[in-house]
Amino acid sequence: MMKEGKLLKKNYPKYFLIPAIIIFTLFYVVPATLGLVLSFTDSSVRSNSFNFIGLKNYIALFRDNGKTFTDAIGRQFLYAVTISIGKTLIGLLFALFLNVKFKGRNYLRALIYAPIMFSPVVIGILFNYILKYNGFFNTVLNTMGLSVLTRDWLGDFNIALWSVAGIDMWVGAGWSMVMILAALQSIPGDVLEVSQIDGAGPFVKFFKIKLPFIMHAINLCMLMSIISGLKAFDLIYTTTGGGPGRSTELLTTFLAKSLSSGSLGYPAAISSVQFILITIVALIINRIQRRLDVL
Amino acid sequence: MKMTMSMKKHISRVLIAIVCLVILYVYAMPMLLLLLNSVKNQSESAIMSFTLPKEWMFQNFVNVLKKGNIIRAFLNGALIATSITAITILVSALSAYTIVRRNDRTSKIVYSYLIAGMIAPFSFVPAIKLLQMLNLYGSFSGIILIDCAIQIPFTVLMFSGFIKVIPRELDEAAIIDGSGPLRQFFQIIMPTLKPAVSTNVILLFTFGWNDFQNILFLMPDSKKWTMPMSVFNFQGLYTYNYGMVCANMLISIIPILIVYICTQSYIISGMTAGAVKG
Repeated sequence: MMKEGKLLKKNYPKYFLIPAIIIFTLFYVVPATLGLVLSFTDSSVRSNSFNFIGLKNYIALFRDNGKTFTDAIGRQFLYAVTISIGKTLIGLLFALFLNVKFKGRNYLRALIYAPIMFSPVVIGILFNYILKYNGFFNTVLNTMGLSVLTRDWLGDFNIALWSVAGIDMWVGAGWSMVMILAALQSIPGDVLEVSQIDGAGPFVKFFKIKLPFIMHAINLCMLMSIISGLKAFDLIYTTTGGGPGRSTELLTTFLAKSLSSGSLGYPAAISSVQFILITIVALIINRIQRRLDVL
Repeated sequence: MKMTMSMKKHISRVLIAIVCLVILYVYAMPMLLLLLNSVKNQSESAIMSFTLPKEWMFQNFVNVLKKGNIIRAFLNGALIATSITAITILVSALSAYTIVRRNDRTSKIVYSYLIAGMIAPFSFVPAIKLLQMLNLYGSFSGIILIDCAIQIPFTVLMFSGFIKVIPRELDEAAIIDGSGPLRQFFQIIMPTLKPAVSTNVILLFTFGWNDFQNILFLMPDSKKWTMPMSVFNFQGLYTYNYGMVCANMLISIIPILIVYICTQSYIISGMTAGAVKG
């Protein structure tokens, strides 16, 4: 026992942990904590000194900009839930389809996964061009005889948010697909064979046999994309920038705009609310997921 | 009427082909449009149609190279992405090794502490103040260290998953050999982690190359901007010349495109291996 302990100390020294802990603490945890402190001050980018001003930033946030702020939070959640369901569902369909054996399926998998590798800035600008009123997408709709459907996808107050969510799904479905495919491939072959002999139809086969095996991956995809949706910024910023009007203003773009004045105290208040909100949501989802896994 | 086996097979083959074509269209078309538009002149590229250019504007690339400050942004991106990759892999692999092998209370606490960073959003507003206080605001090191801190959680998760399946006997061989822990780690463990290292190299480099938000908020010095920020800025300057913007975007994704084409099967399998095991 003693010897084992000594071996551990010698060969797996604790100082191996230190560099990661220092970098993570100083540049990740400290900013979060510092944010909470700054939110009670009149700190700004330009000066080094700051005064504590109590709850003034929060009062300004909730009283003066209350509606805009809560609307932005609401939209961020709506966006997160939408893309989470969309990415997971589309990813699941892709995974089921590309699990069928045929020539070239590996190329299709690679193609579907590809957009994640590219900068959201490039994707955002490119889709800005494609989804313009006289852009490629509407031209395609016109040639298909669907001119009723054409509209200004990113410039229409009622549609812009859904268009950006659509682009986000196009980008992210590949990730869900890869995760679910891995789960599908881990289903033991004899389980599938037995169902074949039993003569189970494709739907029964999916819900009764495959789904239990891939539920874990589906949960993971939902969780990860909800969290990434709650942080979503780049794509919105480079496509609509929160517009038209405030129709695609999310918590993240609201925060970005608040920085333009040079003040840091007020944005820090927004940032702290965001931090607490996302952490709470993540913890709740984590709880639910654990309960599901136990069942 | 009962369908024969061969008819069924035939129909399913046609269906598969149709679905494949639809997917191909939806996913390849935007990329093809980017490619085509990069060699069109201003008026032709404005329509963004799927046709060959009447006038091949290779001049777009020359213009972009002249006007876009693109070479500088390219080099900045390479420097930042490479540094993030090297530092994050080194510190994450080291700590994941000790965490997995010790597997005691301390290491479990450290693991949970680091992993928490995957959930909580990064607070870039106070990070501005922090970097100012450390005198790192507007410097390469500031942005690199911030990006490392953001990526450490997921990288530790990945490495832990991989190290768990490396048999302990391997370390013991090195222990008998009498080499110190650092040498043991680099000579024995690191080589067996090659798949994990390569996957992380790709993921981290891509992250560093593509990062936009941190550069936007934490890098006031435009001489130190990387590709995404310079593309975004260029698009603001040449709003109506889609051809030139597309040429610029194409140059900005070339390194990633090459890496992806060479390693895609690897990325996809590595991605799932880490997430499933971890």
